[in-house]
Amino acid sequence: MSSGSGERVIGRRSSGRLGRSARLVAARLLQLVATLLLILLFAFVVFYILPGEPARIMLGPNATPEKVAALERSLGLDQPFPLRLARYVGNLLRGDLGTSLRFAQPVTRLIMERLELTLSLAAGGLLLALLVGAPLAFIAARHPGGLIDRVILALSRIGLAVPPFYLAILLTLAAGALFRSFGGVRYVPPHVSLTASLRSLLLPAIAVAVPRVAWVVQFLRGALVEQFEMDYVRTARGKGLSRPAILIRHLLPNALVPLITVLGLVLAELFSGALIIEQVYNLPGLGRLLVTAVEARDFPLALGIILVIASLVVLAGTLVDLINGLIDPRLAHARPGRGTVLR
Amino acid sequence: MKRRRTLPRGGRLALVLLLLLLLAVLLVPVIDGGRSTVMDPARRLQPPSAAHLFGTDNYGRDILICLFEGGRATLSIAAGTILLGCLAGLVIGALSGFFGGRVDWLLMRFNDALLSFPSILLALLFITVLGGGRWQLILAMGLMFTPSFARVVRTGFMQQRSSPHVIRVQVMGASPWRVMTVHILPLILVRLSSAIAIGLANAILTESSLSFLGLGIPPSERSWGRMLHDAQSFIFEAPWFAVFPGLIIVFTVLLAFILGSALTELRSATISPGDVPAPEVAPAQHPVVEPPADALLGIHELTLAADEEVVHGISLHVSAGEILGLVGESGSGKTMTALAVADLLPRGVRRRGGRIQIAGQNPDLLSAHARRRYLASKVGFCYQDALTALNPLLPVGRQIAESVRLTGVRDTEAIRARVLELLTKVHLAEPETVARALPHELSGGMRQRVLLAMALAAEPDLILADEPTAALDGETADIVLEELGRQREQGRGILFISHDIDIVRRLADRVAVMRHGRIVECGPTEEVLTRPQTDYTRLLLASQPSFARRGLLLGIQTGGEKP
Repeated sequence: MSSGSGERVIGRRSSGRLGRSARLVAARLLQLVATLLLILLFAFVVFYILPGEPARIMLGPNATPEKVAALERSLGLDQPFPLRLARYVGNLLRGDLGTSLRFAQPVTRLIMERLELTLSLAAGGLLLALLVGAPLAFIAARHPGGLIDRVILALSRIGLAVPPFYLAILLTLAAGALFRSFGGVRYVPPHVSLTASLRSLLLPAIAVAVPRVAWVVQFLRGALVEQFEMDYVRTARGKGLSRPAILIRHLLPNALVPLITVLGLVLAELFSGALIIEQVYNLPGLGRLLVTAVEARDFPLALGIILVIASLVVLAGTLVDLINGLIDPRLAHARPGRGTVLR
Repeated sequence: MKRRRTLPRGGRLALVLLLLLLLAVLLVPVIDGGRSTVMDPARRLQPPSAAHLFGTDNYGRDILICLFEGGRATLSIAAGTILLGCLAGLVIGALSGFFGGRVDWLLMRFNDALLSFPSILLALLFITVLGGGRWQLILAMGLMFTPSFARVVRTGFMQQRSSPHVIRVQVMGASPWRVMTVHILPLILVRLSSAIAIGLANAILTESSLSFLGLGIPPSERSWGRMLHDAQSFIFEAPWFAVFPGLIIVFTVLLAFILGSALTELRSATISPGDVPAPEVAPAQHPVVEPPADALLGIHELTLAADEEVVHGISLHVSAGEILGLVGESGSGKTMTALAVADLLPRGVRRRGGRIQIAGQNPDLLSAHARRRYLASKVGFCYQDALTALNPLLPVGRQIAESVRLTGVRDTEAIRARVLELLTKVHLAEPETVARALPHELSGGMRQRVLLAMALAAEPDLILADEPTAALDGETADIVLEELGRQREQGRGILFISHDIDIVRRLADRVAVMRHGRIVECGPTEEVLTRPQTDYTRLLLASQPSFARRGLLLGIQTGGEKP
């Protein structure tokens, strides 16, 4: 073994996969903090630099000067800008997002009361996007350019063009036509009855999921077609492996990374979809709360909700990176922001 | 390869329909003169009829005419959004892409943070402060569309900055401003056009969503999303009120998407490399030699074709215990020939004719399944690029084990032992560690030897070795060559593809020279390499640096001394 002795298997240092994952999580958490700070800064600048006095805008044209002054004091508007930002961050760290102007209640409590519904709706949408999108992508990728492929791609394109709220209206119409007794969606919390809760969320989840199914199909199909053309698949064929064996042992693990990536993107987009769908079906979730806050110019409430959703989105991104790093160790080597070239 | 200069048919149709829609949106309300959009309780919520094609709304207005009128708000807001986003994106992307370095890093971090965030939320944040309305929407949405445009522009600038043309103008002393605006910008605009079309679709969707939520344009004005908002309360009473505004949104967005992807195709076609040079004169084919009856591999008049023929009726054979060197420049069809033997041709390349005989069998006569098994057991393929030929996510030991299993070994322990034996055979130290490693954890030389071990695993009669030493240092190359020599001694036949004449001379018993998909010369190694019969072989020999060093220049014949 004269010549081989000098060679080492690289990438198996003492830190191991777990150490690398820990570093990745730390990097992503740092990114979470940075993103939140950025949004905060952005929001504060928009709120305080743009023309007009915020307090007056919020209270409307008929407010007395005393009322305006009182609101300015309660918002801390009489204090310098950096101090206000610092105070907000300080309160944020203690879980205090301020007080809603419209509801005169702590923003944190208002959000907590409605978070469950929005999360269930997003989860349902994610599940549907995966269960419908992934099989369609596989079917389309079997014969790229074939009739089935083209039909599925055309359908997914239409799916992308249909606004979720329009789909929601159509679904309501269809349900009304099919079931005489259909009287609209009425949300049932899961602790009352799990099955009734699932049933009440079915239509909203479908409406939220359809454009995302289209995403999953287009993204995953592309990744699969690309993988099918890879040399390692040819190697596997050359070994005489059966189609299912190639699919399960070789293709699926490699297609999993793009799938999880797209699911992360889908989840982020599902939150904004849920905001609108909740409005259509009159569901008491974060989305309706946000719309109310925006309508009422309830700035503390709107900012609080947006920060919570931003955190959820970045957390989902972290989770995606983590899972992908476990599936494909090459990705864990890549440190975010360093532009590592992967082959 | 033809360059595409015109839009695909679908894209053209979409463009025409969009322009027609735009025309209707501009003209129809003028022609109508407000007659059909006047409130008239007598016509309240009438279903579609000849007088009112799409029915009437809750104030008795004609929905079709309202749609054209509402299109003005929807389309102008979308256009304003894209204009703002595009201009801001151009500035940011151009600065970032042209100057690179720290400017780029900072701008792109900011950009990514905004991109990773659901954009409608940012728009809502703005609207909380600014309130609804046309200009507020354009401002809010324009800012949320900026990051994606910035990214497109940046990528374009990055690519163009290093293009030969731009470097030439820069060397000639053009100012950065001039380079940016005159030489780079026009090329970026092609790239940007598809982003604009897709952005337009998304802007229409966003405006509709916001107006539908009641947060977009005020109730006094009309847009498609706003109409849907108003229709919500009458869903069951007057479905047409909601259905038609939604349909026109879907229709417009779909057209813009189609136009966008057609423009993408146009874009990728314009930056694709030019035409592939056609071969000058078809070289003469070496006369067909009937392979000996006991040949391990017999290729008879094999023709392969993609869009055009790439291999033109070649004939070759490899006997047991023989190494046939197949030489020729890259693109001459060597690899395609080997892949055809193993029935592993890439998508798009087909066998047009010819016969292949392996170990006395014509695999074409077997069923697909049987052929796979037969070829896998008889042919071991040592691929050229070891990194891509191995599955990146499977430990190499398990990848070799798959081939071992083919020889009928089922016992896990026995398979493991055989894998380690194979790895040791190709001189890999610490075979246990190597077996557990993923391909990227190994060096290039180690991967190539793993691939060789895999080719040997099924104990095949025939080995197809495609440039197995191209990426290796001398010492590692020797290990591979020695092992191939040993395999020959054990009676295996080897098709050895290489462009390195030195190695072929050392290893091969016979040599075939391939050019433009034809065999131009074939014979015993010494004969072909010392007394080449064709100009092409002479040229090929002369182009090898080591031969040139030894004075074996074009047309000069030397004795057959072995290196």
